[in-house]
Amino acid sequence: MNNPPPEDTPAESLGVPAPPHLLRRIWLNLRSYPLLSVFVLLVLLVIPALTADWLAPHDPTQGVIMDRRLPPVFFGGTWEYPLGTDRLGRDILSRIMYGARVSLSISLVGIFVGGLLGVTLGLLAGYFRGWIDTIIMRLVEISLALPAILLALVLAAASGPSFQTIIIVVAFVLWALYARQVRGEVLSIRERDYVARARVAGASHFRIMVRHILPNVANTIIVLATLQVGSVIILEAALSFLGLGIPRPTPAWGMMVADGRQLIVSAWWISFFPGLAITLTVFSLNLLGDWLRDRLDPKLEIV
Amino acid sequence: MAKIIGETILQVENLQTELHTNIGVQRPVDGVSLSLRQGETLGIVGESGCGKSMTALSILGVVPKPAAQVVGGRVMFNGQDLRTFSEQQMRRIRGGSISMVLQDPQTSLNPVYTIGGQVTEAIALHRDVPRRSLMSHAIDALRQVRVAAPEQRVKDYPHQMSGGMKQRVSGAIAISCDPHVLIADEPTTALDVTIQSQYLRLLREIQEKTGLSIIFITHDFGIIANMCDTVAVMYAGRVVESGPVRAIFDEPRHPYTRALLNSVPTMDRHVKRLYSIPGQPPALWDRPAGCWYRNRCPFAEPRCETQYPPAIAAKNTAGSNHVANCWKLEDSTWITPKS
Amino acid sequence: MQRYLVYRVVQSLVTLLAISVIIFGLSRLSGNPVDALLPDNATPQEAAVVMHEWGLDRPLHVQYLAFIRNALRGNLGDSLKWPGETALGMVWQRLPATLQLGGFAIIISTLIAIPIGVLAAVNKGRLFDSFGKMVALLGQAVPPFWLGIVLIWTFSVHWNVFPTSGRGGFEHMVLPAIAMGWYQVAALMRLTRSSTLEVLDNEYIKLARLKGVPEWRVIWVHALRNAAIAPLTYFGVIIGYIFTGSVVIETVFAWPGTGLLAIEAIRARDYPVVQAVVLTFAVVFIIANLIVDILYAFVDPRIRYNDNEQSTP
Repeated sequence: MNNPPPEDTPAESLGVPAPPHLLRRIWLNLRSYPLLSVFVLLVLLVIPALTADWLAPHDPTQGVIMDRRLPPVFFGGTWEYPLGTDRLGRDILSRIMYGARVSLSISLVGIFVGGLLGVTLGLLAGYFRGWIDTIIMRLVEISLALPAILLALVLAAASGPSFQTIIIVVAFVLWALYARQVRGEVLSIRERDYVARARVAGASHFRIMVRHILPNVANTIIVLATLQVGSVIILEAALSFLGLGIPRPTPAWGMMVADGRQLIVSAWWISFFPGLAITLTVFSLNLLGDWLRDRLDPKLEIV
Repeated sequence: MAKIIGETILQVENLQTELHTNIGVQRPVDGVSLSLRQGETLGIVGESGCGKSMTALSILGVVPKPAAQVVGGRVMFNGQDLRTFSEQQMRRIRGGSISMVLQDPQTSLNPVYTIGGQVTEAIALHRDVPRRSLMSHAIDALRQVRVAAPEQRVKDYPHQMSGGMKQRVSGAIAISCDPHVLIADEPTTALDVTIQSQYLRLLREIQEKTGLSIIFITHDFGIIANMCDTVAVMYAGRVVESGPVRAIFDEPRHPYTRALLNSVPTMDRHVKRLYSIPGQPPALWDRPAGCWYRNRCPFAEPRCETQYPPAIAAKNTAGSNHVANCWKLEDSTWITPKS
Repeated sequence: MQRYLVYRVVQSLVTLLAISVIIFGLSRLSGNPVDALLPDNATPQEAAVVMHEWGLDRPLHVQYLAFIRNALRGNLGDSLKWPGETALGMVWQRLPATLQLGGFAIIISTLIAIPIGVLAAVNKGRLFDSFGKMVALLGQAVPPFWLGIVLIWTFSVHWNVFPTSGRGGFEHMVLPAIAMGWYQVAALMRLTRSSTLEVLDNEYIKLARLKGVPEWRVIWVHALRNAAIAPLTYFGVIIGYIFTGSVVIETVFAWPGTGLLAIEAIRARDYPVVQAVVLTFAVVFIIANLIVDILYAFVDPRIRYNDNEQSTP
């Protein structure tokens, strides 16, 4: 047997990978530069939510009787109402801008309340283990077994729709996910050396949890929260579509879609634009969430 | 019992495999040549990451796609070049004429199918056996690898078996289609020592019975001494020394082979401390000019820095075809001294 | 296996009990249910009479026990909106429509999602994978009710291919099932992709290739059954989504199922019917999850402890 020195291979056969396909390049760019997502979110969600009072061209709740069901600007309408008007003559653009406020505030407050509850309970369960853990995890199971909209139905039927009702529903849906995820991570973090060192140094349970463990689950919490803004916006939209959301006349995207539902034959734009706003917003949020997850917590897998 | 060693059955020439990664194109197998005769056991030895397993997978053309690709060389098997075979022809070779046993018995059997199912699948693919008698052939194969009560065990799932038993099942799958060549990729690394020697004995018995040729991949020189007729020492994706097992053990010519031998603790040699080779093998994407071992080599000379050494035949007592890629062999009596 | 089953059944019962407490608690704590029964100008005396009639003047735990006792007998009260109907009777009338639509939606979304997920994993990093990710992201971004409206506008109003609403033949089911299953396709596809990727990394896949198993068989026989375990557990969640989704989708398509019933009952403040719908959903959901877990044990022999069947690849 002989081992000849391998022949030098010419450089071109070294197989430089072919440049990725155009669609794939677009995809990679979307993923690696979340600028587009951030831009869409700012334009569609954050800026309108903060500045609707000054920027909205019309009153979102007072319609002009003469201007009912006007089409959008490139479909026979005018720049007066760029996205057309609804059946009460209200400007759809203005209503979408005010609707952003509802989507943004409900998702932020709901995630904050649900996250706070879930993270706290998850921390307690993972840190103390034992019976505290058992009780909290059983509650998690129960909460995951009760579909969200059903709870919303019961609550709405019992006490009527309101901002608080929606926040309760959102928080109820979310807390269990945070609790489960945080608990799992705390279980492993609490075994690490620096936690043991802090304990030996006489730190209190509270201090250990807040100073030593919480910072280590922060990434997970941030990623989870970002990924959930989108689904909370959809949940809120579904509730308001069913009439279980923010009470009228405050405009919400889901409610606007519902308003135009009977009129799709004659005035498709009434339903179309608010729904498009939801889709683009949630799409950008999910893109941003995926990007954040890849950066901060690649192992996290939630559906 | 003396083994009968016949004609060359498998000849690998200058095999090259590329791996496309985020940091560029690497060559885990970079011009490997091997030869294996009928009934012979060839040991491939080297540090982890030197391309032993990738060589085996490249021979059978099952490198992880699409990242890896065999890009050059020939794999002559019974006079035909397997590299020119279509995927369909290769499937008949894999598990049929050339089969393979993998390292980790815990993960190499599919957890959701029975033992019997996994053995019969191989038989159904490669042997012209009526469907009804498939199971009895599987039981035969299991009996050959000394699985107790094979009639019952065929209904078991992998998780119901011990690691050693699972490795026997892998062995049964490998030999069930009467292969000419068996490639064993560190089959005993994950097993207990006693189970290990049982398994090695089993392999030798099967070889004596069937005249099977074996390529044994390992990093354990003890197993090499026990099992192999010839040895190829791999370093950084290339074979650096090869020859009859005695020659390699008694008169290693490549400094790397000597270093590997030194790092094996043995009973008859008084080792003051466990020897380990200083330094790291070169990164796959950053090969130095000249000899790839020179950075770790105590005998490096200026010319080692400019040119990769060719394979040079060694004159020795134990026999011919002992070669090593080292400039030191230009003095044909060179034997790497014990350091 | 037996122990596992018993454990799961007990667990389900505990969950159900907790849900009944929540439903009961909400009904009693948030507003007096008698208000719905009385005319607006009823005197306190009249209210007290009705309260007594309904047992609402007794302590809460006694009321709860009575509620449970009645519920176990299948008595969840009478509908307020539909005279002469019991609340549970209304649910039973409407349930088949929901199960039909939901089942159809699950079947199509599975038939679409699993192959796309597997192919995306097999072609990881290539064009098909990117296409799959786009489908997933879009699927999770489009609100189902709006998708339903867009589908109606496109296929019913514009092209006139499918009917706009109502229950009828097969053609009535197509659009609502797509609207309902779209989100599931995204979720199931992502899950299948990631679990297939994990499975394809395994040594037994390598060994199957080394045995000479054809590539299609490696993927669709050796890998898929292992990769299916994770998506299968997700089916419990999917069934939950289908029920909650039915509320929205049935409203959009005027599909006469339990989801639409729930909305009608809420608008009429028909609390017994709402309660019956929610309890039924919870029971179906819990039973479905139990079945999924049992199925799971059959797919994954490591969970089945005492088994005699065999399976061949």
